[in-house]
Amino acid sequence: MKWFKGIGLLNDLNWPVLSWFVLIILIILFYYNYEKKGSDSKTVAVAATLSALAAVSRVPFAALPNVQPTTFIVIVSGYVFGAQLGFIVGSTAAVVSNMSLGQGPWTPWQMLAWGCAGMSAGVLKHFRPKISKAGLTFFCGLWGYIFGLIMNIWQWSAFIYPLTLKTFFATYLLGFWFDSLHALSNVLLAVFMGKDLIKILDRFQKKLKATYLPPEYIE
Amino acid sequence: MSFHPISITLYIGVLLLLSFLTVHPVLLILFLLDLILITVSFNLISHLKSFMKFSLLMVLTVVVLNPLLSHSGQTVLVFGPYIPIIGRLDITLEALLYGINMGIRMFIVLLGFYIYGSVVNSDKMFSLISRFAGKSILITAMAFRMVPKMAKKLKTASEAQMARGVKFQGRGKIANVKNTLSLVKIIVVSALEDSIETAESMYIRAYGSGPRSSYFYEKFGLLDGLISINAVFSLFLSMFGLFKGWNSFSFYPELSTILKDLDQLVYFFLVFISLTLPVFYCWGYKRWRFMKLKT
Repeated sequence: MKWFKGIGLLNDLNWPVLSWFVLIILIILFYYNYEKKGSDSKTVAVAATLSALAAVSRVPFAALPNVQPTTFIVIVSGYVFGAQLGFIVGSTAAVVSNMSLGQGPWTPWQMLAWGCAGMSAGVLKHFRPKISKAGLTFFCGLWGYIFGLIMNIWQWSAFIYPLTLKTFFATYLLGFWFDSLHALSNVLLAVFMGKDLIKILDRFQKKLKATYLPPEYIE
Repeated sequence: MSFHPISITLYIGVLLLLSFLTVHPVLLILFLLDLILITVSFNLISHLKSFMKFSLLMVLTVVVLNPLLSHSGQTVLVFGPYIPIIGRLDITLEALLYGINMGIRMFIVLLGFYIYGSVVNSDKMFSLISRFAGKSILITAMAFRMVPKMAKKLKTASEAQMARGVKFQGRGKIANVKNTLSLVKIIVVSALEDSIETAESMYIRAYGSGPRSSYFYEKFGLLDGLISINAVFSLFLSMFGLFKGWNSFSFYPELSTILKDLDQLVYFFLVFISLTLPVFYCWGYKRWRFMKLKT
């Protein structure tokens, strides 16, 4: 079994390749699932607008590490418009904002992290259709840390030697303050405008569903 | 000089994959050398300043973090203090060298993505992907176009608010934040209103009425073919090296020898040549008119 060891299947070496492979497959699956559905001009336009909002809001805060309203906007759009649109908004926001901030190996991971943030918010709505302010605040704060957790994977798996839980948490702790800043900004945004934004988007979603009836149907 | 997106994706993808498949310092340095050659030959150095500042920080993190986290080397340089649970924080030569090695790998990854971003035309990439994922690419392109539009809208809205007497500065911090947040709500509402208009005009132009047409006329020329062949050849060569064990190098508990036998030296040379040839192709493409005729 010499070749088996040589190829590094049991070795630590292939974990980065494996993590990238899983990442790319996940993103492709999500997008494939979205592409399969028929296209509707309204949802396409809304998804583009929300992604642009999320992406634009990241640019003025570029100097402050991890402080940005993008996560918050993605979560709220996922909460109102559902899991699938939430994923699309999150991942598109990552691509679009990085076009001005700089693409890099982090782009696909951000696509996944923000996409999952939006998707999880869509799932959250199934369990809590009318979420309280405290609940939304907690959820947004939590995502500040989960985002850091996802973003840590590629750095940890490719560049740190003993791939153990201990070293993972050590790398995670190194970025803990940045993640806390991220979580704090999310919490503040959720407190100040969480409910308002949900209300705006909810009203808008109703407006999207409304269609004109021809006069002959009205009696 | 323009490339087909597939050939560049293949080349950079293979290079990054190979750098993940080995920890051998010689191979990593050769990969880095290749990327530096590409950077020089495409005149990307002048744009490199802001990239360097950021990437050096990431490289440094990896270099510093490794010796702090791993204590399995044999040559102890500094005996660290004893910390409960974690153990002794010894800094070993092996871990330090491993950190530097990983720093090189990190730099390869960052530089690879940087070169990819500056060489590949994103419009071409979009139109290539739009054949498979039309909707997603349309959303991305629309969002990208909306970015400057939104910045303009923000300016208009803040001017309108100021004309109404709202002050964004000098009313205490909480009042300032509240006034600015109200501006955000205005932007959200008006952007969403606009999106209905966009959707209607898309509907009028028969969006979604049938299968999407896609026109991608970029030619896969001789240069692209040569680059792709080289990339695939390097991949197979490296797989051969993997089976032969030429790619492996161990840092712990002791450093293994850099060069096992003469065959390995030949292998390094071949990998380097096959990854460097595309740079020469590009150079030749500029000089030699025959290649231009073939594209």
